Amino acid sequence: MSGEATLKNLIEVCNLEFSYSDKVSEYRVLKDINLNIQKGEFVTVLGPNGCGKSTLVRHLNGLLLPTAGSVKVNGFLTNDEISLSTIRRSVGMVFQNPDTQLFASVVEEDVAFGVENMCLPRADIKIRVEKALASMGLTEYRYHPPHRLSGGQKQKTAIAGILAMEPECIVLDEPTSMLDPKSRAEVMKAIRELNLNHGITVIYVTHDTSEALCFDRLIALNSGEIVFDGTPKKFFSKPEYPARAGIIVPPIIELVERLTVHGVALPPDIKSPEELVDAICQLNSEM
Amino acid sequence: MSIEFRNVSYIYSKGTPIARQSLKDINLTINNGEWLVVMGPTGSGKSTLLQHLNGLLKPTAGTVLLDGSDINAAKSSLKSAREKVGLVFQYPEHQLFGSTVFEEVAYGPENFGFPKDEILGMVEASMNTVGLDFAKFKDRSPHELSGGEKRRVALAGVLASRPGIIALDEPTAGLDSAGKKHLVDTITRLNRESGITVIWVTHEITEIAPLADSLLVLEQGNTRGYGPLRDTLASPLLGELGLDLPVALQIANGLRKQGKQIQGCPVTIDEIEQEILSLVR
Repeated sequence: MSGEATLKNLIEVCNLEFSYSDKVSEYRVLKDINLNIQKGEFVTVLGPNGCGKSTLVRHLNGLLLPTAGSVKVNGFLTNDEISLSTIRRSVGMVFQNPDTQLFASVVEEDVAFGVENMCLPRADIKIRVEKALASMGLTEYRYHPPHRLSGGQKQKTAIAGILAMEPECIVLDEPTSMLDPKSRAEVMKAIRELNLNHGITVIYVTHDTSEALCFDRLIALNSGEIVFDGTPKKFFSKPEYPARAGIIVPPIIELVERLTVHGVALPPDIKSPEELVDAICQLNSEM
Repeated sequence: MSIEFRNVSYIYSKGTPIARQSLKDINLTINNGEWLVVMGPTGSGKSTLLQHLNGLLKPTAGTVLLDGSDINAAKSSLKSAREKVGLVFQYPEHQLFGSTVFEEVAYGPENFGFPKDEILGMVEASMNTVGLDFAKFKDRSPHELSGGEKRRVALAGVLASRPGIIALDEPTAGLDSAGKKHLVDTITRLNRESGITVIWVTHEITEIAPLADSLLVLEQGNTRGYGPLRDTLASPLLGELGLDLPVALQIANGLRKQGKQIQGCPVTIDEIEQEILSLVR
């Protein structure tokens, strides 16, 4: 994240309210959300099931429209129908469940679908699809039917389809919850590279606290309200922040707290097993 | 209730150009009341293995035995396997279709031909087990519940037929930390109090490592490791395959690499806490 481009707000959310209603009652899912996302930011949205994370991110390319307040993408209002195609070209979305996103008879076709609809020369489409397949490690599966892939491979196919469209911003709604740790790391790495090398803005919904630690900015949501907006480091530095967000503290943080209570002098911001090992070795060499 | 796999192999799309061997010569014995964890990289055959437990897939070669008899021997043995082995799929909430929670949970027992007057009790008991208040939830539509509640409805539907074995495919995927804890506690209770045999496919081992008995590690359809959980975790295998290790063990391995003395194979936060305290004192 550097340069003048980052000063520009890509997304502006202003006093956003959203309610689902049936005949009997009204259910307020989002309450007075205010949020700016700048071009090139690397953001995670964290919170428990049912807190409104998915509802919030579905507003970012006009899949849902505010009950009150507004959402702007590059200055265009999402509830202005004429702007919608421009907005959706800027903000691509990958959903939680790949089964509901894949439909073509082979992987390659599925990845090409979005980009084919952008009126690009055939040669460009080919290059983009190749690149997207390779970055998700799917080249050897390009002629396989998607329904015969494993859950993780399906999810990578869905991500590749969005990557091929090279949007300005990519929103991912829990894309790794079904992947093994190795593929999870691969996907995270690919997303990080898109952000660093191509300046693509990333908004990543998760409730995996260890994943959330990798981002520059963490927005915590609980009961439809933003309860924290800052760095992940700050979020885990005080137990009151995760508690407010309804997040159970990860085991590594709990262990550090317990050791500190027992008088072990550890630095306060340890967030991975590796960092704890280093800190303990440091202690031992000082003794 | 016990399950045995004898030389089980499975090939998807056999005889076509995209034929792919998904399981190769798997041998397994899961005893009554045992809790087995299955791990493996994406595409290693974990879900395929699960679908053999109640005959949704039939082995290309080999036999699956339920309490000693081949489940694929006859229609009747297959039906009995479907009743006794409850399968909870990845994202089971996507399969909900009943218009009320009661209808949804009662679907299994009704189709397995339980008497009508028993079904009410079965549904109530099963909803209680998963922590859904019967009076509060029975008439609600499953589609308007939260993600965690939907997952519990799906689990209640499987438990209602009182299976002796329950097999879960990535049951904690997509659940938040509180939902995960609730699910792990529920299954622990079923295993410890009702003696249900548990087969748990997962990528996340930290929460269940202290609870499970044995571990099977698959890679591209092959058995790479199989045995008591702590013995299998102690081998370098999981690290080599890029799989998750319990946080406690990650720390223990890291400290050992730095030449520190750590006893055994710590898998809980308590165990590693004691090890670290004896190191620094």
